[in-house]
Amino acid sequence: MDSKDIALEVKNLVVEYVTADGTVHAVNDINLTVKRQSCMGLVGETGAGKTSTALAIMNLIPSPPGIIRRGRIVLNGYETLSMKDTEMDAVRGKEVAMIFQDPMTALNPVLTIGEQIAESILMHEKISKTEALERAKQMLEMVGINGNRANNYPYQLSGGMKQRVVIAIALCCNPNLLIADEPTTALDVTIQAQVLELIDNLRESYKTSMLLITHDLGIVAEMCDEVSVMYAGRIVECGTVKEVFTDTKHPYTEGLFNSLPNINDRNAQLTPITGLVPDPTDLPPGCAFAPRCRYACAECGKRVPKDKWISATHMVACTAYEKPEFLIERNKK
Amino acid sequence: MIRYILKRLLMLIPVMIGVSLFIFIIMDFAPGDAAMTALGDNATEQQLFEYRQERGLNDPVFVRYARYMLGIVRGDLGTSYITNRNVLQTYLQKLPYTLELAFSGTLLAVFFSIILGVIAALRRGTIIDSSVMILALIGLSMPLFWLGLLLIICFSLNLGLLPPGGAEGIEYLVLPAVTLAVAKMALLTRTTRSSMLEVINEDYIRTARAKGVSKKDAVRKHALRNALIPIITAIGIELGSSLGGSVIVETVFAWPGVGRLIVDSIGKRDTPMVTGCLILTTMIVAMLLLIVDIIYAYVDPRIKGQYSK
Repeated sequence: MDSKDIALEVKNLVVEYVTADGTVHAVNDINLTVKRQSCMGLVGETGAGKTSTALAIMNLIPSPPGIIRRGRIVLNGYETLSMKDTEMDAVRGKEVAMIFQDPMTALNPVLTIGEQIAESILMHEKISKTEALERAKQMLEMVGINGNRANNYPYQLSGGMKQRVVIAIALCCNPNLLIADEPTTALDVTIQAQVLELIDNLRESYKTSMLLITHDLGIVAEMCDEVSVMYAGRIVECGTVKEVFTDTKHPYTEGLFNSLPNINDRNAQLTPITGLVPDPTDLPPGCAFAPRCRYACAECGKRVPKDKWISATHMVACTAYEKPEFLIERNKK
Repeated sequence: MIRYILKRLLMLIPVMIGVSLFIFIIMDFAPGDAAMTALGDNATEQQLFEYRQERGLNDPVFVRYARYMLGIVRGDLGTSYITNRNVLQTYLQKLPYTLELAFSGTLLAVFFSIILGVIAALRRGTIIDSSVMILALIGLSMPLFWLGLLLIICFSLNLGLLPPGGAEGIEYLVLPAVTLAVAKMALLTRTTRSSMLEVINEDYIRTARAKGVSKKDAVRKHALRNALIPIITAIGIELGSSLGGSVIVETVFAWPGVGRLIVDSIGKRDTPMVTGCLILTTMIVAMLLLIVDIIYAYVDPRIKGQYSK
């Protein structure tokens, strides 16, 4: 693939948090590629390392205790991890922007929403403050908020509106890559669809690439072109949405699908994945999913599974696939 | 907002009545009286009786209180039992010294403790943080009179740079203000640090950083203003506590402030002087707290929203 077609490339990223109770292995050697103008979904349970990955891309891992041990992150041609602080400040907001999970706390309570949007514009463009405030009003209109509410403070807005403001802040400098970290988790169900549609429409019109972090497979199916499934800091399966959804390979991905209610069979029991996410300070040797995996064999606990490429785009990291005849239940029909 | 201010001012009236009644009764319980202080040990019963009769001291405490309050309604805070001087005039004569000391001490403390508190918070867990906190602890636990004496020994006696006491010019203010500031810095530094620590990990700081705001500006423009409410409260408390006079500092440095006036008057059982001074001090402190509350509204728009309800 030509490097011009790649918005984000993450190579062998390792993120750890060093605490008094031990080292938290949040992200363990992951690779991730977001193609230009496409949407990559990053799926996994709470604690899988999704937000740490996003913060590493922003180079905003809270340090201490966080530390990026290894890896390369190439953002639209910029090697962000080797950048100086001032260089990185110029990249943040301009090349890559982020929408955060909880809009209730993501906005500064003592500044008006107009000021907060304008601040981002002023950071990256040489225009006057009045012009920036004018642009902020236009951005508000764009995300569906009346421009004359620019003088409102965050406490005067509802949760959904706050998230719209956060989206306006993220998109006001027309970034190449947008990272949305569970943008609808904290919102009412009725607002979720609106906000997702808004993000999708704006992404189309701005031609922005996106990394969408979520634990909701429904959102992935709706919004994404490709998806990576993350478990205990590793990517266990990735591929186009079609590949991963219809030709699921990894037992963990299968478990995620089985945990979803089936609207066509309302009497069916949900089959949750047994057990709990492993303690990230004490990951099992070998495959981290092995203790919960119904297909696990002795080999799984011994070594970390290698990435196996099924097609040019579809990858699975599971030791069982070293046997050519292996099939998960979902694919047996 | 204006309604809120008026409401607060009206609430001052019951507070004043409470304060004055309380002081009157306490002073009445205290052994000895103004006549004994004024006339000394050799006074005869007859002399004491006449002295008391002249000033109405033989009346029951509530009669004296009622008389005093009637005076206050007319704007008359009474005259001293001992010196026969007007209470208000005496107070106003001492007040500028107290204001001068209180404001300079507090400003000095605010300046250094905000800088130190912010640095400690940003360098949390490092040796810088621990040193600042240890300094604050020392400041908090050091007896003020002792610190004052040390400063006098060092800067007045040994180095001869500054006068050891009195109030005849700006150089006389330095040592008392520094002494007062050290005591205040302890609380203010700790408040700034903890308030900053709370704010610095907030999501909106991360949002600001994600926009491309530098670390320094995120602290200056986003964190500090949000951390300011507890700091302003602490500043208000510190300033208020020294507006009543800083007795120890005033005594060590022979500073002619309100604190010494009040303590002297208590010793002499000079009830009108004590009551008058404390009523005036209460009013000033209450005004100060009101100003602090108004400042809140300008720092945090959410509070402004509450006031206008």
